Amino acid sequence: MASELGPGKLLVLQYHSGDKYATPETEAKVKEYNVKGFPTIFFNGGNSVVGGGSGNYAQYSTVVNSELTKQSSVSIVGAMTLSGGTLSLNVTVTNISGSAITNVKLMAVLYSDYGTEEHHYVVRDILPPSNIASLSAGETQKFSLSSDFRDSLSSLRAVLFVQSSSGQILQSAIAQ
Amino acid sequence: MKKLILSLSIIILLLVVGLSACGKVITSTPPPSEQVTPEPETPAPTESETPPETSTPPETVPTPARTQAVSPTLTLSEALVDGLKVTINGVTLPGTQGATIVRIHWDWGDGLSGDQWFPASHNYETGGLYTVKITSYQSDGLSAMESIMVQVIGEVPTPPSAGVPVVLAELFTGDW
Repeated sequence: MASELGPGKLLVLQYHSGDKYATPETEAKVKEYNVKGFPTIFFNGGNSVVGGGSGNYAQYSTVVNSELTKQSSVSIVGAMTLSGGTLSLNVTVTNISGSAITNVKLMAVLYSDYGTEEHHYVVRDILPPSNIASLSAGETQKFSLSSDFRDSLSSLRAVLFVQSSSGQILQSAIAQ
Repeated sequence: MKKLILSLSIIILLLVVGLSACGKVITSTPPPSEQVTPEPETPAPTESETPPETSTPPETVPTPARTQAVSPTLTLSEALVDGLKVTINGVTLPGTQGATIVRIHWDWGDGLSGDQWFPASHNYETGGLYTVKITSYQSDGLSAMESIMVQVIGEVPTPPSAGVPVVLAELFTGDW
């Protein structure tokens, strides 16, 4: 489905637990989302669907299409650079809604594509969240983030998203 | 004696005849060169030209009065602004009698310049207040310059994700 819709509509992250791809950050994420079984997939921080396989495609598709009809209240523009073994992200978050947004956080997650069918979006690092206490209508805030993750820097991609305190994801983007 | 008189008469007669013959030869035979090579003649006047008359003095050609060099005039209309496109019309006329306008040079105030006839158009990259300098050049080298200020309203760049939601699918997987 991700290749069908493209990164302009759907982004995917794979958090592993208890296997060779698991990291302390991904294990913490499992607890944060209170995941009860594998696989479990969350769309925009909610709308969880437990279970995998092609039989779930219709259920996934219904949720994704529903989410795509909603107007986003935030825009995210991110640029990623690699220099001297450090991955840097410059992110601009703008409130494009007509009202203030409060108590949200900007998240940056790095993933690698291992090329195999089930390992295209394997999370390798989760950067500490950048808290946004308030973002008034039309306001833009800029963030400079960095990761010292050393493994396979060149194959890393960064997904950025703004998440509310209740877990809802307001918008996501991939850093170019 | 008779013989002597007869002889003298014959001699006189011969002398007279001989002198008469010599005079005819001298006067009737002109040098052959005078007939073969005529003196070059001035071409005959054409019909349009007034044949010279010996009785009136030759007509004098009036010397033209020295032409005064005058710069061209340059009048600009109000600039038409359509987004980032500006169109300026105007009129320029040569000042010196007989001169012509050879080019109109435009300095658009954004680092770009060139020659264009009226009306001239230019697309700016970004909005802003620009001073456009227009110079009209005429064939005798004189020129006239005018300037006009244009306010260009730039389009607000739209962030790639503005308003359009990108769904984030977070997949949790692994072994218990």
